[in-house]
Amino acid sequence: MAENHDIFEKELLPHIDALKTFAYHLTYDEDDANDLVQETYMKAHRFIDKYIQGTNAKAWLFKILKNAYINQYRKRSKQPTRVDFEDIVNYHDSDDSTMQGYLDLREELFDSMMGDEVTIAINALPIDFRTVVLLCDVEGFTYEEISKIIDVPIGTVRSRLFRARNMLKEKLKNYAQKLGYKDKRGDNKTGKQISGGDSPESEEE
Amino acid sequence: MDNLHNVHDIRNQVNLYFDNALGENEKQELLSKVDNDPRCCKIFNKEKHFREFIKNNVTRPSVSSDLIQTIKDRIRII
Repeated sequence: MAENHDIFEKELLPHIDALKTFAYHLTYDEDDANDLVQETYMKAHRFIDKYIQGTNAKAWLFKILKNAYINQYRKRSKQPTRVDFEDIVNYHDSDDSTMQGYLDLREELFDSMMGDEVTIAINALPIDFRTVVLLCDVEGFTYEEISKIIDVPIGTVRSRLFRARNMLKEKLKNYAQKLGYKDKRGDNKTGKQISGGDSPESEEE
Repeated sequence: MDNLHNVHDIRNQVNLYFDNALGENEKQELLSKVDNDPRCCKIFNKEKHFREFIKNNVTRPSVSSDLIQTIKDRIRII
């Protein structure tokens, strides 16, 4: 019992900040995120005997949180007013061979943004894509860890990441354009530029 | 073996590099290419900039001491 308490305090609780960030971007709401984190730790505590001390506590907790979120979502899906249509759309996952059309962003584009756009853009991604970006680009999980957390093959993780990053870049590009950032690649006018990136082979600026 | 013949291959390897999915030899091959090929260097730096921008600017809401205490209290009760 005391050993479990130690594991909880020393191995599980230190990940609370990362869990809160993940929960916040899944729920869009701070109170809901707190509830989800709380539920995650309750479940982790209940099943702590299944956790092997010294193994990947962070990935284990993220998997619990992801499952708790899905369960919560299923409950909410019975309440029509809270259903986000995008959340119930099934996205077709292509394999790696279809990874074409890489979207290229110019570095200067980021200088025109304040930073809030990142959260807005991530939160605007469909749930499957938002999840992989959060797990990989924000939390630094490996493909294998993500595959286990969200229960999909590694190839699917890679293809979702590829698509998610392209979608994210597209959204950031749109925000930058709204802020007055103009795509002038290809002409000789001066000013800030943005690249649409339709051609994977073009790197000229 | 040099797998970095075209832009598509380079981008693919750069993505794998930043996802920590390259083996040691592949990493060295890519980094060598980055050092010696301006086109590769540009792709590498753009992706690096993008990843850093995402990581540094995503909202990370703080965790209140109340939440931590609530969790600890609930666990004691169980």
